[in-house]
Amino acid sequence: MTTRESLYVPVLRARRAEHDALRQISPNVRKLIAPVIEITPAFSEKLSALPPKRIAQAVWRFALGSGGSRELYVDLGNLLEHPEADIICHEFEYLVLSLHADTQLVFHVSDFSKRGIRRAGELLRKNGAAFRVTSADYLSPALSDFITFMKRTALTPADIDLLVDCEMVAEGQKLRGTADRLEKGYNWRSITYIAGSFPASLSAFPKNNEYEVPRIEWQSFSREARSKANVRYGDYTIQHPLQRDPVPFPPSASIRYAGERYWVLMRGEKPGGPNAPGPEQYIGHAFMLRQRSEFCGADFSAGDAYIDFIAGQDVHTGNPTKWIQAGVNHHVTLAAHQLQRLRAA
Amino acid sequence: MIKVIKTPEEYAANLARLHSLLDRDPERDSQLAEEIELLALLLSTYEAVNFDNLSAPSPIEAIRFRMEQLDLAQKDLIKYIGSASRVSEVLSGKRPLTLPMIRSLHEGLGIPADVLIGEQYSDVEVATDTFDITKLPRKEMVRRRWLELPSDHNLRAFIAPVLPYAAAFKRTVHFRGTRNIDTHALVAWLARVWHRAQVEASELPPYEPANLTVDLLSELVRLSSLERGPVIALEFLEHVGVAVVVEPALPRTFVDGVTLFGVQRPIIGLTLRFDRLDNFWYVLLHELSHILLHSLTASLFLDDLESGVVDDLERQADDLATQIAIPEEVWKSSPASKIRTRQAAEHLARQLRISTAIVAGRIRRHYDDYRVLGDLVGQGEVRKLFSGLDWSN
Repeated sequence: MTTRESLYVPVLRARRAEHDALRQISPNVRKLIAPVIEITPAFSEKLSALPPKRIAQAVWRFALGSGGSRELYVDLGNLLEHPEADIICHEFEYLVLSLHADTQLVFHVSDFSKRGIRRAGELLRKNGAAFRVTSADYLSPALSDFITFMKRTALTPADIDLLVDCEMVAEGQKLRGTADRLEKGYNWRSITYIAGSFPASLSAFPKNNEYEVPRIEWQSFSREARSKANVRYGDYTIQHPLQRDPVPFPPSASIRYAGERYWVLMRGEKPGGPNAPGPEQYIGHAFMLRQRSEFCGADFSAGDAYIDFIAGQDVHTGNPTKWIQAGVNHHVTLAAHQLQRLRAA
Repeated sequence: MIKVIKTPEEYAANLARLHSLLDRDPERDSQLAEEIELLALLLSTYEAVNFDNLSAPSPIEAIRFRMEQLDLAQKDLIKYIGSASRVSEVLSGKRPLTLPMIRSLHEGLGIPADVLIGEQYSDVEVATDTFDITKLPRKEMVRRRWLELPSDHNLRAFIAPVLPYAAAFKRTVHFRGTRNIDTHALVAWLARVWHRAQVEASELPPYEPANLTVDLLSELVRLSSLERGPVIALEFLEHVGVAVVVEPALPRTFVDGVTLFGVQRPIIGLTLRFDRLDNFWYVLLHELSHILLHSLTASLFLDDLESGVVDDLERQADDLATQIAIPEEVWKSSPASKIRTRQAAEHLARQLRISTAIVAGRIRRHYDDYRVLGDLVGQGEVRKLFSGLDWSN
């Protein structure tokens, strides 16, 4: 039986690639994860023209479509700035409770003063909520607002999952201690360290080569986990922690693939440039990736099956969205297994 | 004061004087330059009288002699020379022997090739009337010790063997390239290749076309995975009777390689103009492809493979060279045909057991992009294997 402490918490943006990556997670792995779905600024903007109830339905549909996970967090992001945020939250509460889904809303320090969150009172009382705090939040005077928030919503720390968001971490940086005062002073339902180290841009890596990019967050967590067994692990999969919307220019034909301690980056070049290869680069990279020892085999995950398929033929290349999907799917599967092994050890 | 040369001692002294003047690199039209010309004239006059007193029978005399010995009529020569009218023209001296004719007569009637080539030499004497030998890079030729004395006579004799191929680059010559080439320097270089081949290939086994096959060349290209692969490859080709001469290019010749169909064997000349492994193998395979495909089509292929000028014959040689190095079906299914990474190049090289430089070169040619994989093409790895040659130019 998997305990809540051993659930892996991937942070995923509400985008097509991540949505489909989650949808393709195998049932066995779904039991091991509690993803955070972040509503991105772009998605929020797109929804803003809809009536508030329809917005809530769209968000829920999106979250549900990725679903089947044992637990799910939804970070409404900019939607809490919506003039009718209270209606959106209330409708969202209704949808979640009617399906008896184990879903929590995620709140940031800056959210406590927003009226929308108080309208989801019953959802919060039944399912609890998540409190996401970054280093910057931790130093904010508004941090103490969470006491007021809990009183108003009749919650206690035991109803709340604390998501300590370390955001981008560098080599040697410790995850523990990021929010010491909060971690020690309250009896939270759970504490999760979330961090990422995937670079914002691949431009630092010269094109047409293979690289091993350290998964610093996992290396740090696995070192520290021995002394703190009740802390959960979360990461940003193969994305940069702060890059919520995709880069505006066409990306290079590159593949990101998680290994045990580093990502393998198969760095291609922008397809279709003068005297340059096109999207068939993906086939070449997939072929080469399949040769590497880090490749887990076609049966490991849907993402791995996709890589294996593309590598073995000459017609389909996929596109940037499909390759993010495959990379996220593989990463989530691998990290979930890694966490289980770590806990078992 | 310069005097007519009469004795061997005077000849030696004047020769030494000429060499010392050449070393001073005089300006054109200067007094020293005039002295050089005068010395060269005197020396060549002396040589003509004293050295050149053995004459071989003319080719026509040799053919007629052999016909008489074997009791052959003119019509019996048709299979060696071509039509009846062509036989008649050759025997009457109206038509020079072509290389295919020489090859046939040598093999069919056992007439020594040297005697038949004499015909070409005498043709050349005629051709050299229109070939301006003053434009030959004689100073560089002497510096490279291609000939001791750059007299007109010696220069004519030096270039004579290749003029049948190169005179005006007629129809039996196939020339790939468009640049402003110094054709005189090119003829000189070609002659140097010819002369070296005569000396260095004299002990080689006879060339049998049937022994040079695509399969054999596929084996040859695997030698590229060895550090001394280029040297071993040339030795390997010697075993099948193909002479390969590596000779540094003269300025403004823009030639990577040449295939010259000699009487006894094909001769390949390589300049190593680009000191890269990928270029060495590509040029070598290209020239060998000419031998496989075009021995009956032309007698000389001069290749500037950097030039974009490609006709059917060149395309055929390109295609075969490419196919021998990396078979098309292997290339297409390889990641190297889709991504330009070191790892993909190395993967295909391991698969085919060939040098990574060859794969990198293929990728660069495929995309016509020579900025990529520059560290994989074996820059500076070839000439050093032929360190006995002067690469200073």
